[in-house]
Amino acid sequence: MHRAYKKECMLTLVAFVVAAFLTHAYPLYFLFPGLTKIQMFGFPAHYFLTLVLGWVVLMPLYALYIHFSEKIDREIARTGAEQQAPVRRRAAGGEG
Amino acid sequence: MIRILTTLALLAPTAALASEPLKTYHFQPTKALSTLGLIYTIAMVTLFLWVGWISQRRVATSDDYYTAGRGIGALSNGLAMTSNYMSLATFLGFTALLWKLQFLLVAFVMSWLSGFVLISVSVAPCLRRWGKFTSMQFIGERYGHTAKIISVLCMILLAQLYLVGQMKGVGNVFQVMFHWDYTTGLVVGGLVVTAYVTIGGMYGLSYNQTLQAIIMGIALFVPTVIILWKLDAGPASLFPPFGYSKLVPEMVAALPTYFDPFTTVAGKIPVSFKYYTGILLSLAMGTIGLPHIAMRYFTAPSVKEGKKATLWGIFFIGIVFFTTFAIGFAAKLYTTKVLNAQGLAIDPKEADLLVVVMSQAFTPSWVAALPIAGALAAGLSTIGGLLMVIGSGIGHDIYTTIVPNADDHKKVKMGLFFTAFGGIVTILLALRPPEFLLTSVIWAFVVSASTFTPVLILGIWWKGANRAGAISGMLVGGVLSVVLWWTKGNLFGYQFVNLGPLGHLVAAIFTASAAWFVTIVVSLVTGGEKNEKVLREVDRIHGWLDYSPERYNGKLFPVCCAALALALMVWSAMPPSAPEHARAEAPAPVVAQR
Repeated sequence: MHRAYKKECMLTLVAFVVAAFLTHAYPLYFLFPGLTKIQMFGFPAHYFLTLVLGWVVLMPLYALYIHFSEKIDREIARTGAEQQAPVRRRAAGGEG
Repeated sequence: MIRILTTLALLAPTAALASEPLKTYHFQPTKALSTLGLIYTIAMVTLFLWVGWISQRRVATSDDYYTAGRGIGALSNGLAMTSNYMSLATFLGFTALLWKLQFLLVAFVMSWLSGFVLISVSVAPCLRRWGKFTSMQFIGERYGHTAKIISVLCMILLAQLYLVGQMKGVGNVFQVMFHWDYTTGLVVGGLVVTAYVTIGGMYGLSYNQTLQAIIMGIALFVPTVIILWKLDAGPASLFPPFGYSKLVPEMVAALPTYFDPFTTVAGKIPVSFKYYTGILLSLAMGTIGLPHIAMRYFTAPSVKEGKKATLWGIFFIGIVFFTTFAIGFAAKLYTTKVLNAQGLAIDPKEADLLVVVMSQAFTPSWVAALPIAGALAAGLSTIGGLLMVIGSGIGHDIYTTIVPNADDHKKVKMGLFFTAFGGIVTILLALRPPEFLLTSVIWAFVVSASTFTPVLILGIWWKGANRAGAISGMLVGGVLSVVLWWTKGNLFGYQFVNLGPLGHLVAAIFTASAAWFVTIVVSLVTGGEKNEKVLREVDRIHGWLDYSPERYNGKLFPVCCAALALALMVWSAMPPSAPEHARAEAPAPVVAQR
């Protein structure tokens, strides 16, 4: 199996889980109810974390996802082109 | 500032009123507010019609009409995504919901925001590479005509769940703000949006949605800065999304449960972990399946531009969503500390107008009138997006199924006709809207998560998903969503879903999981997909130039999904962890129209 294929599946899975977690950080409050008692930048910590994780942190991570997914897409296109090249040469009457 | 200080100064004598029953505060727009709001609205609507008209010149082919020639750049598309997602009820209703539900609304909103990223990660790049007009078309080519027809019918139901509420909202804004007759306001607003979408197609819609996002941003941001400033939030009020930290102690003192993640409705109703799971499975997963959201990716020039548009979309959506948190926070603080202390309470029916109430109380008329224009822009943009989906769903997807060899000109004409038809039908429905269409917009997300989302994700990431599986999954998910909503979670005498506040959300744990489970099991039992043309397409939409039968064909992914779905279904049917009295106190389904 191509490495690019595995990378694509892994990146998608990781990005999906990370995005879902960052925007649904609520299990943390059930695990650590103490978070609701402390303050961060003037807001209750759980409220602040909900907004920051789900938006401010999400944006650069999504930008990273774009970077890596584009890299994998290029690799996929390159792999496919390499696989098809000998076929094309044969079809054109080349040496292959 | 003077007004708020004066009001606060009056608190001491009025405190005695606190023990007496509160009188209802009724909002009345001032003459200046109504006049300026009407001027802004007329100017805005004229601009939208003009944009629709000039966009018409660019429409030559069906590709132009349905996808704007796939030429909408990342920034413009990001703004259009924002506008598409921000409905009239987002603009006005979020403040009302925050006022009622407090922290729980923040959880809803984060889930909606999440849906935008999840759709971009899981399905949008492949749908864009596949290169057609709608998700229903993808379902048709991946699973066959029957699946396409079922998906179009689901889409019409979803679109109407959204549309009627939005249209009614537009009529209400005209009625309350300008003292127009409801029917006149509804017909004028409805005809305007139907006209510019029908005339300009996706070009007109995209450019107008870009404009509408800018209008909405200004109309929300400017008044909120002034309101927070006058409430003494300090320099932080210049950036409303995080600009109210200075007021937090006041809010905690006035309403200690405002930030409590474990309760809602002023601490009256407990919110369980299961409920939060329901939010993820309905709102975030439901967004993945919404055709009018996926549609924006079809207009991008490339997959990369589509992803960049999503990044812009997250940025702008975050700004607008978080600004609504700020104004909602200010409204709750104002009503709790000031109005209640004066012996007044907001009429819950008027909670949707809190943005305008706050703007009128704290800002000059020329600023206070901005949210009126913003709210109408929000309503029109979402209506426009949905009409386009109806136009392409019936005018293209169903029409080309019946007449496969139709020429391109005819396809454009059909799209045009059915977009207009969808608009007229919605106006007629909104004249006397059926109650279930108004109270169950959240249900639309459950339907979407239980019909479109599983077949889209599995169709892209698992070659084994086949026609029988997809049809069974959509039917089981769709029927269960309707029946469990209707019977309040009860089926054959057994409580499959234990509802909480906005119970439809929790229903998704069972209905969406059932759709995933059935799609996978039926596909496996019937031997998976055999058509090599379809299998090659799956490779192609991931960007592969060659074909390999092994790719996207493992059993681990579907088996894990099916096992997880089964576990969630069992968990959903288990007795609630929340106390019984909590469910008894749950209010009637709250309108959360997006």
